[in-house]
Order: sequence, then C-alpha cells, then structure tokens
Amino acid sequence: MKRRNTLFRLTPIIVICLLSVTMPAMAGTLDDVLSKGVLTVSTDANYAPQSFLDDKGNLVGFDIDVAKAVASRLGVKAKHVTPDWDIIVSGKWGGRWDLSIGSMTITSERAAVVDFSIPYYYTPAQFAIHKNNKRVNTINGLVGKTVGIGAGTTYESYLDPNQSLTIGGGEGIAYQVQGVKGKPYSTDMEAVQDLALGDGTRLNGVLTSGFVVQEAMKKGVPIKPVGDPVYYEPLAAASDKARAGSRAFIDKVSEVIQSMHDDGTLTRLSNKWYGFDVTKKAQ
Amino acid sequence: MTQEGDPTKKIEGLDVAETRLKHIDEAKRKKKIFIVKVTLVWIGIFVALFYVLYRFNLDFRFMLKYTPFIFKGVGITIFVSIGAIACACILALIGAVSRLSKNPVLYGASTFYVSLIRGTPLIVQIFVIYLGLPQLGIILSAIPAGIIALSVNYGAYMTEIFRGGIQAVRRGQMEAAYSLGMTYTQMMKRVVLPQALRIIIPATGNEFIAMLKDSSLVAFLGVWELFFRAQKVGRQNFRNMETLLIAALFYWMVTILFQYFQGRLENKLAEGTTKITGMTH
Repeated sequence: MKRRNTLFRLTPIIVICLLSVTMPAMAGTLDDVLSKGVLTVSTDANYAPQSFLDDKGNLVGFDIDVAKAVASRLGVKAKHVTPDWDIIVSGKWGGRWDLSIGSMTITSERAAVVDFSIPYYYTPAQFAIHKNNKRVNTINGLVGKTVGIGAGTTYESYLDPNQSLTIGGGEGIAYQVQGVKGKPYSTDMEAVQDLALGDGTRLNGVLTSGFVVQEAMKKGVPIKPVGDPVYYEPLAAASDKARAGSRAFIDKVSEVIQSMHDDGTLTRLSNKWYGFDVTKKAQ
Repeated sequence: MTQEGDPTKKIEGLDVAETRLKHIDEAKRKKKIFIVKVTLVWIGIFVALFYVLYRFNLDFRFMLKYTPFIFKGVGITIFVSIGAIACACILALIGAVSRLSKNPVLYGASTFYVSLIRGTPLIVQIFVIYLGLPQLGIILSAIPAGIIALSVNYGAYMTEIFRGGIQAVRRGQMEAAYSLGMTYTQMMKRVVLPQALRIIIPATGNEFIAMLKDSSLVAFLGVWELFFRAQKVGRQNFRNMETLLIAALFYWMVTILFQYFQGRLENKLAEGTTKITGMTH
C-alpha cells in the first residue's frame, strides 16, 4: 500500500468540504434580498418589549414587528437571526444577514462600519436607583457614585469622559451630569439585576433606556427612575458598509420607514408594544 | 492439596474453598454497606444544596414555566459537541502521528499547531473563525463555525492525549510488528492504536464532557443552544440566576448520562485484560 493512496483518497473529500462553504455575494444587497425573496434581519433578543422570547420561545416584540412590516413592503419575507450584540455593532457581517433592526442608536463611531437608515423610534436615556434609596433625589446625587451600564451602548460612552458621543445627525449632547463612574456589564439587564441587590451593594444606579427601567419595574425589580431623561437617542436600521450596494439598500429601507411613519404603521405598532407613541421625536 | 495463588491463610481443619466463599460473601456485604453510606452522604449534600437554593429566593414558578423552552437547547448542544469531538479525534490522530514522526514538515507543523491553539483562548478562536475568515473569503454560518473552532481547539489538547497513549504502548510491540514485515501504517492500525485506545478512551471521554460545556460559547454566534436560551430568557425577565441554574442542571444530567456510557465502553475494552488466577498478564 503506497502512502500516496491515502492522500489521493482524501483530496476529493477536502475539495467537497471547501466547496460547501459559501462565498460572499458580489451583487448589491438590495438585488440579493429581492431575488432571494427573504430579508434576513439580526436582533438581540434580550429586551422586552423591543425584542424578546414569548412563553413558547418565539421571537416577538416591537423590533420584530417593524422588521416584518419592512420586509412585506419590500415584497419579501422576514427571517430573524440572533447573533451577539458585539458582532452586530462592529459591522463586517459577512453577508450572513442583510439588515439590523435592533434598536441601534445612530452614532458617528458606528457610522464608520454600518450605514444607518432614518430613525424609526426614539428612546429616552434614564438614570435609575434602588427603590429604597431615599438619599438621591436628582441625578446630581449620583456624581462620584458607581452606575451600571451595558457594554457597547451609548450609555457607556455618555459616562466615560474618554469616549465621545455624537448622536444622530451630529446633534451635540448636553452632558447634564459629569463625574459619574460607569461600570460596564455584558448587557443592561445584568446591571439592573446588580442594582436590585441593594443600594451600594454593587451599584448605586444604572443608566439605561427608559423602557428597560419601566419593564424592570413591571417585572417587580426594586428600582425607580430618578430625574428626567438625560438625552433621547434616535434608533435606526443598519446595513453592513462592507457589503456591496449597502448605501443604495439602506436608502430604500429609509424610504420604507418614512412611508411607515407617514401612514401611521409605526405609531400603531408603538402603541401596541409601549402603550404610547415612541416614534416621534420628543422635545 | 493447595491451589496456586491462594490468598487466604491456611486455617487448620477448615476446607480452603469454604474459607474463600466466606471471604467473598464478606466482601460483598462490605461493598453493600459502603454503597449505603455513600448514598447517605449524597442525600446529605443534596439537602444542604436545597437549603442554599432556598435561601437564594428563587422564583420556582418562573423556573418551571421556562424549563421546557430551555430544555429544547439540549439537542443542539449534544449535536455540536458530538460533531466537534469527532472532528477533534481525527485532528488528534493526525497531530499525534505527526508529533511522533521524523518528517520535519509534519513535526514542525503539528508542534506549532499544538502550541498556538493550546496557548490562545477558545473564545478568541471562535471569533477569529467566525469574523476573521470572511475577510479571506470563507464565510461560515454559526453552527459550522462553532464546530470547526471547537474541533481545532480540542484537537490540539487531544493530540497530546493520543501521543501519550501511543507512546505508552511498549516498544517491543512495534519491533515485533516490523519484524513480521508490517509497514508503518499497518503497524499503527493493527497493533499500536488498538492498545493505545485503553489510555485514549477515558481521557477522550473526559474531553467530551468538557466539550459539552465549552459548546455554550457558540451562543455568542447566535445558536439557540442550552446556554443561549437560558441567558436570553433570564435577561429579559431580570432573573439570570433562575434560568442559568436550570441550564446548569441540564448540563449536569447530560454529563451523567455520558459518564454512564463511557463507563460501559471502558469495561468492554478492558474485557481481555482482567486478572485470571494463575496467569501472569
């Protein structure tokens, strides 16, 4: 038996394995989506009511419904995938999914790797403290204290003096409070749970979306909001800049979102999931 | 007339066979008592554990509600683990043979592979394969990327296991095989590897059990396996503790199941080697 035989026998298997791996799409994103008839959307299913799992384990939420509406207006079906937030936000998706409709805030740092559509809704950034905390009445009471935030969120950039935060169309943010120490967690949800342990046990507060605070309180977590929202973030759909035809694709998505603003679809979905209209810019 | 290798002392006036039976009965009885004692220890440990969990203030109704959903991840977890350990075994065999080879290319490449892959974190390797390969034009979806990353990682550790197992087979076996005119491949296939298996199988079973837990890292790629389901449900309800404990329980149950099968496999492989009174090996 010659040694050559084994390698010869292995070669076709190796070739078949390599061929079964997909190659990146060369045509534009929009053409791909339309020809396949499927819009693959990424979502990070941690947050009720934006994107979460119901009792039966189905993906439901405001983001999910918006994605389905966008897909149907493009004439295709929507399919959801659930990679980790860090992977979504850093771009270079490799063509594995076409669009992110996942409550991503428009920032100039992110605009370097993804193309943003127009905003589809707005979220207030809200400080929260432990329910039993009687000492802190305004957000200035949190200066010098430790506040939990989700890693990779705008809330982290807001508290970090070394990070810049330019939101939306370049509007500056008035920093209403400085000198609050931010402690990053893998997501806002872990930060909330640590705050629930007690004021000062691990955290003195959290900075997260006002909707997360409301949802936590609804589920019985012992926290309460403090002060008014410190800023509003516009949230938009995003497409991978590294993929051909991304700008044309996201412009088309913006058209669709604008039509959904105009005919009241977004307001209707917002009322369904939040009980009020979050899709109009708050002043 | 005395029997060869008789372990009992000669007792005056007593039939030697009868003494032996008494000793065997005695041993069985002691074993039963031992099992009962161990079971009592385990019961004690479980009681202590339940007390600790009770102090955690867990929402048991919530846990029951989501248990079926989390349980559905067990299938993918096992699938990913089996796929990865199978590929890892193939890599390990190639790697071990290369590490023992006199060919500089094989030796150099395999030694580098073992050093690099053992020396970098598994999570980094998973991200490199998932995010880095597309930049070279190779795009893998989540589950294949996860299985490949796990195989490559475990293949490096198991290369050393396989190498150790092969080296443990006595040189005399190799020399005898060569003197019978076998080629290297025939010798490995028919003489060395079957004997090396007795060392490799228990260690590989151990690796598989570790792999079951490491497979949870593919959750970062969005695969709906056990850990992913527990994490998502826990996060959105602000109850990570409850759901992660459920996932931990399922991981443990699957591990116990495989430990049982591994035990049976080891016993089967050891069939030809138990001591028979009067024989020397």
